[in-house]
Amino acid sequence: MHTHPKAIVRSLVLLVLFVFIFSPVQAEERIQLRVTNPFENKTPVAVPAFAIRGTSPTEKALGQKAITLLQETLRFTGYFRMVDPEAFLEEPAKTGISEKEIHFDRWRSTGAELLITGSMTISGQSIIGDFYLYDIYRQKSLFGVRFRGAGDPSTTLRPLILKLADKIMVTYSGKHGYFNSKIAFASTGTTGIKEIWTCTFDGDEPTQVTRNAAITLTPSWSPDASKIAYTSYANEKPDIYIQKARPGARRELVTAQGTTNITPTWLPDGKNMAASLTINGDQAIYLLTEKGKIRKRLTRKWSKWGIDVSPVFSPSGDRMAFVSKRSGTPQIYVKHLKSERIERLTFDGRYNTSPTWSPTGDRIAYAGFQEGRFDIYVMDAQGGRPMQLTRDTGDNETPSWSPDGSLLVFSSNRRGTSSIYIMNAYGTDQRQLMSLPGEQTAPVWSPNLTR
Amino acid sequence: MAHALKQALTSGDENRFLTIAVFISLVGHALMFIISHLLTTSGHTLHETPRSIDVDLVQIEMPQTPPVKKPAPPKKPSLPRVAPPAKQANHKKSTKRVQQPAPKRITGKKATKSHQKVVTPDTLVKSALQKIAQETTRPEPLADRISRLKQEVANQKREVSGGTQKGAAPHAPTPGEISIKERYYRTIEVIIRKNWAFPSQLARNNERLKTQVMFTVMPNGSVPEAWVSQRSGTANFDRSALRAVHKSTPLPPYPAGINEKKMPFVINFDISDLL
Repeated sequence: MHTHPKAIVRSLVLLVLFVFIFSPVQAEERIQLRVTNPFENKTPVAVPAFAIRGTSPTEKALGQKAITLLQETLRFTGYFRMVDPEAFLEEPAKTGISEKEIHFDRWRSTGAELLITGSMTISGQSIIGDFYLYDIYRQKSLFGVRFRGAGDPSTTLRPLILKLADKIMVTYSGKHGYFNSKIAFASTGTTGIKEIWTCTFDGDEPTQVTRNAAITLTPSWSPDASKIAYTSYANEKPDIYIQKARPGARRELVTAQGTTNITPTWLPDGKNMAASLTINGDQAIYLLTEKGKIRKRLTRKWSKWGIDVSPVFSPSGDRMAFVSKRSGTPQIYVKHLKSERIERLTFDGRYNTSPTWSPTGDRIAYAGFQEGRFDIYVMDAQGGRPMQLTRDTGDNETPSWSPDGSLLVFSSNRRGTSSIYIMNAYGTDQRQLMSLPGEQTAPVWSPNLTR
Repeated sequence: MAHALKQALTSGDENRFLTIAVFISLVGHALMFIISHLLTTSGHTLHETPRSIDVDLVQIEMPQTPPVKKPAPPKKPSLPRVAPPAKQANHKKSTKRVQQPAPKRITGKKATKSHQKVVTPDTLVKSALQKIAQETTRPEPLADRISRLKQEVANQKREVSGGTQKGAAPHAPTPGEISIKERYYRTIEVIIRKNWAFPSQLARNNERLKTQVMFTVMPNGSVPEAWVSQRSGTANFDRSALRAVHKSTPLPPYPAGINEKKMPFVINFDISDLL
């Protein structure tokens, strides 16, 4: 104990000496510069025309279609900017697509950082595509792949190009894209009755899935994206149904017990479900089997206003977020399933609803009612300050995350009738996904199917 | 010195060791002060100027000179600033400015001691005001970066003075020269930032995303090589930073007034909250 303070003094003196001796030398070594925030928010990519082996005009047209689809898909991610083809000094379709045949100096002058080249051999029954991704500044190929698509080229083209886009995404960001995902939503269509529809991630191929001729709402994807659970008034009162996610599939009643059965959701295991059921006049959340057998009551009656709806499970299945009126106004709560602990998440505003977990489980997006309209908010799943993503653009409701967590789909009536919109997870790049007759609401993004 | 320290440590004579340490620290501090005062000419002259201004105000009865000169200084140093291409001219002017006051200061002192000489204090004030103006205007165009600038300027002063000692250059590091270098650094930063493309939403989950690229700039602006010296953990981010440097090469050649054989840089790339 006696020598201890002295030892400290000694080491301090040494430290001070070392700082004096070495710090000026270090400071002189290199001139420090600092650059904060990139000037451009997207990576510039050059996508010149593919070399098409095939002579008929239809094959040529398919080649052009492939380029357009690839460019649109890359643009959709929000990560890439397509460089104007006017700036290209070289035509890989003619001069060659492989590393030896690329003059990187010429591509440097276009301002692009990445270059995608490809050739496609299109025959009556197949497409064979060779594709390369180059880093123009490192003058090096990042990948070279060959994809084969068997079948009618006009139908195999899209999956083939989306596979290429996914390969580019994995190389670029280390993460899979969501190009095999779909979006389910409720649409009034031309009949004026809400039914469930689906479309591809980019709003293509809108398809009516249910034909219940009755109000059908709140779709929810099964974890393998093969089925959709929803609420429908097909039998006079709201009930929960499951249906294969394709048009014309038969709907199956999950539960008829209770008077108001709404907002179904799947557990990550894909076997169990949860929904809000009204049994004996008490609306609470129950754990169900796919056949509708009640396994467990998940929320207790809290007060006489204790209406609990809209359950959603975290990706790992350890927590459930839901909306409850137990405090007087609808607010979002999180229940820890193991400890049965329930915590209130939202405190701002008089109406917070439609919670949805980010794919990593760390954030929750929801719709909150403030200043006379609904807007999308995101907050940490542990609680904290919400971040407002939409503002001054009508009502923005029912957010849902893309499978990689980079985008949010939501409904908005900013242009009059409600329609489906997309934005990135931080609220920028808001755009309409597609234009359909009628009103579209309650979009839900499916998991990405990787086959 | 380190050897002596070790001996002191092992002998266990703590008192002796402490006195040595305190002595070393005192000597070090004294050296630091002396060196910094010797090397920073601007600080040296600044110290003297207020006195001579007092003298001037008391003694000179020309009412025109002070009002004329007071608005003048901010204009004079700003002139070369407005025309950056004329860097050589700027550089020459600045060296003259430093050389001029040196002899005149002595005469000024003499004058105040013996008899009133109207001309010398006047020119002295002129040069002093110029210097003050230079001191004050220097950070102005870069107001947003003052704090960082200060540090860098301090580093440079040391660097430049080291160079003059070795190569026996004819001039001391003038403020003009420092500002030429500063301007060149800022130019490099601006060019590289303009060429930096990265979707910042990819980095938002990781707010502490930082990467470091090292490179050396030759007098003609060429960059023989650049490499990532400190990874961020996100390969895509590191690549985008390195590409920004590659894209920016060749950089503009050294402006006149920089006589370095090569300049080694380390550049930090980071993303701050956009929301």
